[in-house]
Amino acid sequence: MGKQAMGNIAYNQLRRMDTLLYLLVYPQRPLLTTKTIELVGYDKLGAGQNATVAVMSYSGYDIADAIVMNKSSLDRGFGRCIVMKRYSVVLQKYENDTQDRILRLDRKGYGAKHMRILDDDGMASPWEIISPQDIYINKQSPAFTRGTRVPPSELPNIRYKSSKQTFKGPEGEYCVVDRVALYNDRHNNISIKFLIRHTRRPEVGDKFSSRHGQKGVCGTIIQQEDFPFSERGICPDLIMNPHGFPSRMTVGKMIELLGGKAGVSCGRFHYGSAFGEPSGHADTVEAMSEILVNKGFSYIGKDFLYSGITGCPLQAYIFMGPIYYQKLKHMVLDKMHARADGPRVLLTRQPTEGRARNGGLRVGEMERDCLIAYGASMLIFERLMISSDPFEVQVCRICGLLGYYNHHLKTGICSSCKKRDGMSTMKLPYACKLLIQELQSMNIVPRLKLAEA
Amino acid sequence: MDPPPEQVNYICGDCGMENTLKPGDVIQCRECGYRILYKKRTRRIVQYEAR
Amino acid sequence: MDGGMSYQRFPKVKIREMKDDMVKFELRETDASVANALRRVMIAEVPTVAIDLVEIEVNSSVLNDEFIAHRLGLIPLTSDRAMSMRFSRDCDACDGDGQCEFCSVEFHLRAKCLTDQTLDVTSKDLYSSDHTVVPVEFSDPNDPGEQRGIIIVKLRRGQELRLRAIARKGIGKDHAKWSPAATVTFMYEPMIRINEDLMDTLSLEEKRTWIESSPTKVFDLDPVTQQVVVVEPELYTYDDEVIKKADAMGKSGLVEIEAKEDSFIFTVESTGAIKASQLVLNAIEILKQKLDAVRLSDDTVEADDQFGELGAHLRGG
Repeated sequence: MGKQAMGNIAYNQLRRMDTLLYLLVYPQRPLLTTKTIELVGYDKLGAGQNATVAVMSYSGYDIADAIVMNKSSLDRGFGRCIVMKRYSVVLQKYENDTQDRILRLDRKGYGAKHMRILDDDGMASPWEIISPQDIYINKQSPAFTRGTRVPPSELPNIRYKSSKQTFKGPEGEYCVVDRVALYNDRHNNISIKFLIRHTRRPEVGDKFSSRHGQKGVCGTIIQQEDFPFSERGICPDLIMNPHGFPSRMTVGKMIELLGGKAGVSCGRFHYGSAFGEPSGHADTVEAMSEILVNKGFSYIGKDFLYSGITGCPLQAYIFMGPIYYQKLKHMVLDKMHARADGPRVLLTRQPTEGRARNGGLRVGEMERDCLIAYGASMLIFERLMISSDPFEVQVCRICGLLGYYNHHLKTGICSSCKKRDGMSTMKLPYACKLLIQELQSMNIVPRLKLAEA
Repeated sequence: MDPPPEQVNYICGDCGMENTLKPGDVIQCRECGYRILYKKRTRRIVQYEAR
Repeated sequence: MDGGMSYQRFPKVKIREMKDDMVKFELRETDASVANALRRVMIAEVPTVAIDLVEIEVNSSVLNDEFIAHRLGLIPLTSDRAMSMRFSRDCDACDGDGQCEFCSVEFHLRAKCLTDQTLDVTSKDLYSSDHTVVPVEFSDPNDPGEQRGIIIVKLRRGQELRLRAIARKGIGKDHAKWSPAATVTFMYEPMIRINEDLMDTLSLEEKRTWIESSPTKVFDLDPVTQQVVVVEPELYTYDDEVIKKADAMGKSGLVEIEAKEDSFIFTVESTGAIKASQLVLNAIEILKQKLDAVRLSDDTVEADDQFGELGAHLRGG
């Protein structure tokens, strides 16, 4: 998961203004590396943290690769990340010599609470906390951008309409304006970039992965006192489900745990490569087990733990030790989406697509096939017409073409027959009515033959 | 009456000098000619929860 | 039923070792649930004082505002006053604003680097408005003379940090910064019995290999009598290695190891916010308060119809 892991990208990452940048607050270098990693320098820019992981079943929230996390570890900064997003604004120049402008505000009147963070020049100041719907730049565009060129003397008098930009961020979170940069772009327009930073704590739904392809979503967050503890007082940061091992056969993860535990106990970094043991570029499992035994642990890395809830010892020995875990960039805050009713596409009058447009979720062709297999005809009717784009049309029983409804006469009239008797009302999906009209435009006559309902 | 607006000065990206901009100016540092300017930190005190 | 059997037991405590930040004691004649309850209260419900609100005026360091605020929250403050302080939300003096002198402590930090050398801003630079609540001073055991504070941020020439912080009372259940315990753990005391007859059938070499098979030094060879003796029973980590080795040598039953079900050895290490011994006493006090809340609540009396004897027993009847 190296490409999706959060971490440090470069030494100048705090000076860059990237569109989207994910950084880890407390990155660490891995405890167990290989010679190759060190040669390449991969451990210099840490992309994860060494978490103490216990491999056991706990709480039932760890089914299907989910991970159980320790709330106190999260309070102390484990897995915290910084997300930086860039918003750009260009003050455009138009053909009639007018251009956009930024106005200083008088922060009174309607909507004043959304203008709190604006500075005296109409732009948000850095290091202010920005909330959703706050205006971060009070830009105004001229009302007329085409037509005759406006002479410079007339410029202060032209009308402007507001094109202020508001921040659309997650509700209830502390987002901060990190930096504001001004520059001239290549057409000599003034361009302004806002970098908005959000420090996120891991929550239920955020994706984590070890370096062995064992990815999983945080299933639940449990208090530290409920976690199992060992006699030395160590309690794990993460609990991983052992069902992830048998079919995946990630032996490397087990060796990483042993090597990490041995490294922590004796104070020396070990190499966990599967190759190169004779030449000293890797440490054998036997050598690492011996170090564990010397320091008082069991040679296979299993510990005797007590349950945090009852205080009684657990009935099996638990495999516990440090494993390098990476936080991946798929976070639930960026993905959670719900829609009850909302915007529609202009052409087909169906709900829009995509989270950014507040869209709906599609019941596609394959889902339709499943519903057909169940024989759930009314469900298909509801999903594909009633919840999507129902449209009432007047159909002429004589010619089969669509008519229209006249509100004064309170009756439907056929456009081609020009008669009002023989009209029926029916509900069609708007996309179907669109198809009928498109066919009509191509000189094909789609006639509707109606039978009694 | 609102107090008259104070001049907002911007910091040069290269030399760190403060420049004042008038509307319609080309964005450029007066001293070193660097073409990117940053805004200064807000004067208001910001409150954070230490969590 | 005439009063019924009383389940009450009288636990005994014997202190083994006591330092400022660590205490090791034995708890006997009580149930695992009581020991665990004590441990949980020590971690999560003993109140301390920690920084909760940070107002930053100037910060030109490399760390951003909320990063520094998070670090300030985690600094342990001496909280001997915490048990008698009020929670900010319950304070009447300041209308719950949380900034009056009865329920909060104010801190200042002003640091600016003027030299070419990197300036470490540590917890020693935090100035408190109340001299009883200050950042904990901890000393390196290897270097007893020098006392360094906890590093908050490092500043370069020209960088400045100025802030005002407010510390409030809280418990570990809310956020880990308020937990006064570094580690609190207990182990069951093992009862080790060596079968002397079977042990006599082993040669000296075999005895040595058997002793060495245990990862921790629980057994040793007495130099005078050449007998295997138990030297440190508590180092035993219940890993069954010695039992497996005995089975492998063909001498099953060489040693019998059992965990005593009502005898616990506690090790409590505190962060320095409260003395370790005071932490245990506070935990017992809080546990008593919680039990009183249940015992004296009206719901308990009403539920007597359901619980009968148990209810009367709870109230000392």
